[in-house]
Amino acid sequence: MKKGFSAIFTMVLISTFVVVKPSFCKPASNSCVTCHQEIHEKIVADFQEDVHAKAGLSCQDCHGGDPSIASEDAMDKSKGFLGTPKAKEIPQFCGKCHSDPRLMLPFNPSLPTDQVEKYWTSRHGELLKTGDTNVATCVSCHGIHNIFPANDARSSVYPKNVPATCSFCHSDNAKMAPYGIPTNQFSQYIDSTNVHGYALLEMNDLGAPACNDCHGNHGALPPGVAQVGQVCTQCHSLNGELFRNSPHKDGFDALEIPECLFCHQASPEFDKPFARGHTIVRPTNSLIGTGTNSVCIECHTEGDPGWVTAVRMSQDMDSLDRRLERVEVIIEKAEQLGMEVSDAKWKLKSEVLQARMELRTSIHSFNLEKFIPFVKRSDTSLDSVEQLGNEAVLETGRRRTYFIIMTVLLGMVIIGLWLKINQVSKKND
Amino acid sequence: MTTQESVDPGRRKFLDVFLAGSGLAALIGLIYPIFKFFTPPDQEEAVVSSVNLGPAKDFPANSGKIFRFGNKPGLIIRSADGKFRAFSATCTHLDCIVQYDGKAGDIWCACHGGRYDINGQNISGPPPRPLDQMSVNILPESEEILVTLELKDKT
Amino acid sequence: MIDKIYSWIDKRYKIEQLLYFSKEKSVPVHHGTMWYYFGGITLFLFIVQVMTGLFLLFYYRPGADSSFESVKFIITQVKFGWLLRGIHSWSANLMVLAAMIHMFSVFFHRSYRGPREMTWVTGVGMLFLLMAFGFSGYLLPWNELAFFATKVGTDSARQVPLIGDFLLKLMRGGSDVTGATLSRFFGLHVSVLPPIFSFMLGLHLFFVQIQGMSEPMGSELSHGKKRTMPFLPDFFLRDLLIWLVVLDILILLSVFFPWELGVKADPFSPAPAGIKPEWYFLFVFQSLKLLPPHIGPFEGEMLGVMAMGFGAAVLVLLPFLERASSKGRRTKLVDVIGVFGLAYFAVFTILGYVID
Repeated sequence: MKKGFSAIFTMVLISTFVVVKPSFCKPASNSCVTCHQEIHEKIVADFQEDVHAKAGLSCQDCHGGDPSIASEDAMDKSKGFLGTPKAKEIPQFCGKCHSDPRLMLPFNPSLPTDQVEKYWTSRHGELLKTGDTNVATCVSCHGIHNIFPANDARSSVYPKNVPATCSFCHSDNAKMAPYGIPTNQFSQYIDSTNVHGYALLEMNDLGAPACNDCHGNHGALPPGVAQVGQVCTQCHSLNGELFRNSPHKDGFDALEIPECLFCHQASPEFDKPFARGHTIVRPTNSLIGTGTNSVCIECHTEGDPGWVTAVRMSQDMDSLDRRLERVEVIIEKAEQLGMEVSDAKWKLKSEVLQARMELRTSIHSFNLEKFIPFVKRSDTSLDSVEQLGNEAVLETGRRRTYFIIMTVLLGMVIIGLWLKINQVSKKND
Repeated sequence: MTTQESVDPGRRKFLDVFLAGSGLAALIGLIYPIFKFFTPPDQEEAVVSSVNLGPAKDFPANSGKIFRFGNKPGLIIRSADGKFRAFSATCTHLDCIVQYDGKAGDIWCACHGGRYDINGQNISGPPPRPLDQMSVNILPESEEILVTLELKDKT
Repeated sequence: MIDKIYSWIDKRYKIEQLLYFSKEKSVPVHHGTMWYYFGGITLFLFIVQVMTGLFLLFYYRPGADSSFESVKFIITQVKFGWLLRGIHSWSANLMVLAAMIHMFSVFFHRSYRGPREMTWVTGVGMLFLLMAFGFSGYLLPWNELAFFATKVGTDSARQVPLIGDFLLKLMRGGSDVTGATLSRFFGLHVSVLPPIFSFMLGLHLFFVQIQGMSEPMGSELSHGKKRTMPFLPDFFLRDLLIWLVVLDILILLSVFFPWELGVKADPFSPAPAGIKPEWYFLFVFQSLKLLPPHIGPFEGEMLGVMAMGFGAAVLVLLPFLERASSKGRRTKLVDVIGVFGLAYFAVFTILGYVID
């Protein structure tokens, strides 16, 4: 009797559901939704937009059970019901599908299937193995029932959202205290002086590295001293190549100094084991040379060959920039005089600034022989721009000369006419 | 009608000559720029939407060259099989200028290692989108290369 | 020799009469004689425009992908191209200015009064043509500023009742400002407007020759004391002198204040800040901008456009509407309206520059 009643009741409920709210999971028989939409309203709502729902999956595809049974029997172990996975079960839980290439193929053939494998190699995975359930698992970064593909701007792992996602735990002092690692990475990264954070978050340059681009995605680990150079070289390839062929390579290796970071951090903290690389600032000329802000003087002393090279490079860079500034003033002046200087501006941008950029790159050879040809190239292209600028300024001089000549000639005629007018009107009187 | 005393004929004559002389000089001053204006300038016509890069034989196979296209740099490539392709040379990531990498047979940006394939498609690194294409035509008689901005739907 | 040529021509074309006429032609001398020169200045600037315009045509290439480039070519590569283009641009502006001064002087002197009504009508007609010249010519370099100013300017045509949308499309050669608009404006600027203007100018000068120059009201009564000076050579020499001064000013402006070319128009880029039309349209632009969106049941801008049209019609028909002066009566109201109109123009033009 009771059973029959509840069956009728459920059928009425389901039919209402079908008529009123046709939804995502062929609901004619989905008892998960029927029962859970009241108590887990948010989960049901979130899941409608989830990438898995879009792929045609439903509750039981992850959680098991049989949604065609309209009673609590649907959640019987015998029906393969898994329930809510515990933290340490999550990697395996997602990996059921995501680690099986054959299963993943129909959904997204290009999606890798090695995430779980990598995860166990990550610091997060290592700790999880030891029974630490505070560490990040799949859902910590990807979300639970609101998972989006990484190229969807709503996704917590969309490049621009990654820093905030990681900082959720890594900026939390209480959470990080047991591990003894700093929590200032995020604040350093989003600082406007941070060249990468600024590019990604302010300039919307999705190519700029977020946390995962240096630390890895699923196999997240802090790069060690030896790997730092490799990581940066992924994008800064020429700089890396020059550096590896430079005399610094062996020296840095011997001293176990992190390659790029040693010079490019805002505030060197070499004695500390952590918090490296989160304060990379836009390099200025003062980085090189023997000035107070220079990093060369950390190791080099006056008179040694490195010192000489540093002085020369610094001088050349400074003198190029001073000249560049002068030429820009000339062009600006010509422009203010109303001259058409778009040619000069074009050359400045496409040749001089390009040459200057290559020159700055060539610094990483720490070899004057490789550096000086670029100085010469920058100088030559700057010469031609300066010439265009000067020519424009000179041209205004020629125009003024023409004006003066014409004013004199027309002035003579005007004076003549004036006298003539007087003469004529005298005649009339 | 006239008062001979007030206008001395010599002075009058001088004034007329002065007027005629200065008038002629001013006229020359005005005609000179007009004459110069009509003298064909060194560069014979305004650069419009195509650029002539000279004879095709000047471009060795498997090489690339940066050229000026209006106010933008262009990159013309002659691939190993002898075909020409041209693109806007401005990397779509930041504003660096890309170059042809003969070893890999693709286009490379030195700034952050972005790579595009031989058709300008971004294949790796930071570039968010392909390079803008230009079309290359070889003039039938002179075998000179003419690069034109390809019409694209910008809407 | 000269006599021979003269008699050869005279036998055929009777220029004796013409010369007689020009010898007899005289200009009234009174406190307002100086205002007569502005008509001559406008005429001189028109000649300058025709000449420099023709020269520029030798290098200018109309088209969305060649206009800007060819103007840039003219001012950078062509020798003295900067000068001719500078003079053409500056002269256009000075011409509108001179024509306006000429008009206001005629207005306040009531020189439009009968029997010179048609001289006024052709004159105002030419002023409107000048504005059309200015509006169409402004777009021809196809730079960003002109592009957006044209967009805004043609857009107000939409407000004309009934035919607004059609008018807009007619002006733009499509629903938007494109290369098609450029072709239209070019055609208008170099082949439609010049003959119409020349024809009206011919009529205008013809009327002046037949009727002689107008004198201030009341001076006709004292025939005895009337002072004149011969047109040839006295007045003409003065004209010539002023023309040369104006020419030197044009060179000065072109050398020291070269007309900017700016950046090429890109229809897909957002409108830059501070888009402004040429100064002589600014008061219209500013008036329309300050109007509330709705006045009663009407759209504010539509009312504004209609009011401007009404104002233009009144201006053209002024001599027929204001009959008092033709009958020899001077009404204060005309001065009041004139001063108000001048003040309105000045204030809204200044506002246009001050407010952004």
